[in-house]
Amino acid sequence: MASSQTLQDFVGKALEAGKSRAEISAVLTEAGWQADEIRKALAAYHPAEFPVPVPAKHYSLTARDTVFYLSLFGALYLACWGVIMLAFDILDLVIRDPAAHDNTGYIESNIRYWMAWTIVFAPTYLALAYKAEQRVKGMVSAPMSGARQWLTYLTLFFAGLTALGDLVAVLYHFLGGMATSRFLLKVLVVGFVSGSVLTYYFRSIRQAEDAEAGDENA
Amino acid sequence: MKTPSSGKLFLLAGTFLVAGLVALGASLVRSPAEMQLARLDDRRVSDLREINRAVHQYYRRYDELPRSLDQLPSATPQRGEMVDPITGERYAYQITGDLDFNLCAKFDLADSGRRGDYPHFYDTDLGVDWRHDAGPFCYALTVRERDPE
Repeated sequence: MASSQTLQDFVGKALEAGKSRAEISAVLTEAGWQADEIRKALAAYHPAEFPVPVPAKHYSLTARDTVFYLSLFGALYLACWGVIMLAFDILDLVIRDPAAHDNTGYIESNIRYWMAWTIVFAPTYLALAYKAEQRVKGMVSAPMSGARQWLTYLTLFFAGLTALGDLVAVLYHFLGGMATSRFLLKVLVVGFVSGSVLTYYFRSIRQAEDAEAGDENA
Repeated sequence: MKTPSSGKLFLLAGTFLVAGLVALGASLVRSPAEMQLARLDDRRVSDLREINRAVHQYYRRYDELPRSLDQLPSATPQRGEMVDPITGERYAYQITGDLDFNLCAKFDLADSGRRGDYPHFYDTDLGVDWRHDAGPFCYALTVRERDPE
C-alpha cells in the first residue's frame, strides 16, 4: 500500500510529464485509488499551465474536522452522563432504600428528566459516530487528523479514569460493609459504560494506526 | 481495516441498549396524561389547604366558623382558590360542629401519599392528612384553638 505522499508525488511527476488531469485520474482509478483520494492529490497542484507543476495553497479541512470531532465527543460525554444517571434513577426506584424517606415522586421526576436528556443526546452521538465510521472508511490511508487523535486519546484517558474510580468506589464500599446490591449494580453500570467507550475507541485508534503503519512499511 | 463493520455493529448494539433503557424508564414512570391529572389534584389539595388556613384565621378572629366561604377574607377568591381549576365549581364547605367542618373536592386520581409528591400529604402545622381517594372526597377538618404559628 502506498501512502498519500507517494500518490501526491506521482501526480506531480505525471503533470510534469504533460499528462492531463483526466488521464491521471483515470489511471489512478484503474489502480484502485478512491475518488476522494485522487481528488485530494490533484488538488495539491494549482491548475495553471507551467512547465513545472505549481503547488496549490492548501485549503485546510482542519477547522471542519476539529468541530466535527468536538461535537462527536461532546455528544458522547453528554450521552454517557445521561445513560448513567437514568440507570441510577431506575435502580433507585426499583431497589428501594429502606432507610430513606419515601421519595418516589422525586425519583420519578428525575427519571423523566434523564429520559429526556438521553433521548436528545444518545441519538445525536450515535448519528455522529455513524458518520465518523463512514468518513474513516472512505479514507483509510489518510492520516488521522490531529483533532481526532487528541480527542480519542483524551476520551480513552477519561474513560480509563472513570473505570479506575469505579474500582476505588467498589473497594471502599466493600471494606466499609456498604456494598448493597443497588450500589454494586450502579458500579456495574458505570463500569459497563466506561468499558464500552474504552473498547470502542481503542479499537478505532488501533485500526487507524495499523493502517498508517502499514503504509510506512510499504 | 481488519473488521470494517465491527464499529457499526458496536453502535447498533449501543442503540438497542439505550432504547431499552429509555423504554424501561418510560414503563416505570406515570404517563403524561396521568401526570396532568395528578398535577390538577395537587392544585386542588393546595387550594383546600389555603381555604383550611383561611378558615382557621377567620375562627381566630371571630371565634366562630364562617357560615360560607364567602365570608373568608377577599384575598383568597381573587387567587381563584375557591373553585375547581377545571370544572370551575366551588369547593364544598359544610359546618358539622362548633369546631368541625368538611371541605370537599372532586379528585381525578387517588393519592395514597406513596408518591410523596409536593404538596406533601401531611400538614405538620395543622395536623391534617391530605391523602385522598379518586372521585368526590371530603376532608373532615377541625379548628385547632391553639395558634400554631
